[in-house]
Amino acid sequence: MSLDPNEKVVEDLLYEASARKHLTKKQQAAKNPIIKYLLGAAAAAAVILAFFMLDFPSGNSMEQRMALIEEVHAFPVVAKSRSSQVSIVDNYLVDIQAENYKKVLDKLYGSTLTEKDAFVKAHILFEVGKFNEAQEFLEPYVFKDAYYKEEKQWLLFLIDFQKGNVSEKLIKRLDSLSPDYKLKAQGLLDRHSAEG
Amino acid sequence: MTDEEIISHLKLEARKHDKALSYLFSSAKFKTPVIAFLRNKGVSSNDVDILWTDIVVKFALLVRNGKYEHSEKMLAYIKNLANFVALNYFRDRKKDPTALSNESVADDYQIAYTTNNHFELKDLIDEQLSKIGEQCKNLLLYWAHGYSMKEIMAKFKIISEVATRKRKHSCMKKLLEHVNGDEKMSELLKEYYHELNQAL
Repeated sequence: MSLDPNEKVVEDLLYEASARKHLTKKQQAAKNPIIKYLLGAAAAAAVILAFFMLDFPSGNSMEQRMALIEEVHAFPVVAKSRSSQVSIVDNYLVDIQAENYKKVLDKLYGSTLTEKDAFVKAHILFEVGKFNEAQEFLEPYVFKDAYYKEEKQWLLFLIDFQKGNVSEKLIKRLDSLSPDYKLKAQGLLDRHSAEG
Repeated sequence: MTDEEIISHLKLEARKHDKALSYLFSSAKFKTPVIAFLRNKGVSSNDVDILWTDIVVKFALLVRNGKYEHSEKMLAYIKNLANFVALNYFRDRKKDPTALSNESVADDYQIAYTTNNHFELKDLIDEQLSKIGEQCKNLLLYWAHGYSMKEIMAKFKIISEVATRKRKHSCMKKLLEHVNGDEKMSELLKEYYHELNQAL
C-alpha cells in the first residue's frame, strides 16, 4: 500500500502522459508528408490496378484490412443472460473478457448452442482469424432474434472484407445491412479504396 | 464502435483501451462538434488539436477511474469537459477571461478537479519524468497505460516479473522524490489531492 499521498495523483498524470504520447504518435503518423505521399501514391496505383484486375482481391494486406476493421468493429460486450435460458458462454464471461478465446471455443464445439452461444462463437472465430470457419458456421445459421440477425449480416460483411473479397459480392452485402451498419460499411469501403 | 463499447473498452486492458481511445480521438461524431466549439471560444487553430488530445485523454481518465457514468449524453459531457479545459487554457495563457463569453460552465465537480491546473501539471510531470532517465520514464508510462508486468517484462527485456515489479517500484520512488522535491508541483498536487478527496 502506498504511503505517499501524491502517488495516486502521479499515477493519473502518468496515465495522461502515456495516452497523450499514444495519440500524438497516431496524429503525427497521419500528418507525416511522406506517409501521406505514400498513401496517395498507393491509392493512385490501386485505381490503375483496378482497371486491370476487376474482381481480383485488393492489394491491401490482411493486416491493413484488419486495421481498418478495428476502427469500426469491436468484440461485442457479452453480459449474463437475463432470461431463464442459460447459455454456455454465461459461464465463461470472465474468459471472454480476458480474451481467453481458445478455452471458450473449446466449450462451444460439439455442444448444443443457444442463439447467444452461436453469436459469440461466430465472433470468436472471427477474432481468432478463422474466417472461413466463421463464414461456414454463420451462413446457414438462422437467428430468430432481430439483433443477432443484424449482427450476423454485419459479421458476414466483415468476413468478406477481411478475406479481400472487395467485389460485387461485398457491394451486394451492403443491402442486407441495417442503416447504421450500412454507413459503417460504406465508410470502410471508402477508406479501403483511399488507402489502396 | 457504439458509445457503450467505447466506455467499456476504455476500462479494459491496454490493447482494447487504445483501440477505444484512438476511435474516440478520430471519431467525427465527437471531434467535429468539439473542435467547432473550441474554435468558437477563440482557441487558435494551432492549439485546437492539442486541446482535443487533452480532452480525449481526460475523458478516458474519468472513465478509467469510474468517475463517468454513461448516459445518453456522452457528447454533452465531452463538451462540458471541453469547456473546462478551454477555461484552463485561457487562464494559463492569461488571456482576457471574456474570451469565454458569459456562458456558464455546467457544474460538475469531477470534471472541475480533473481539469484544474491541467496545463501546469502537464508541463511539470513531463519535466519530472525527464529527470529519471529514458528507460524508467518509458517503463512507468507503459505501466500507467495498463500494460501487465508480463508485457512490460517482455518489452524491456527484464529477466523476470518480480524484477520488473522491483524496477517499476524503484522508478516510481525516484519519480516521487523528484515530484516531492519540486515546490511548485508539490503545492499543485496538494491542491489536486485535496479536491480529489472532496469529490469522493
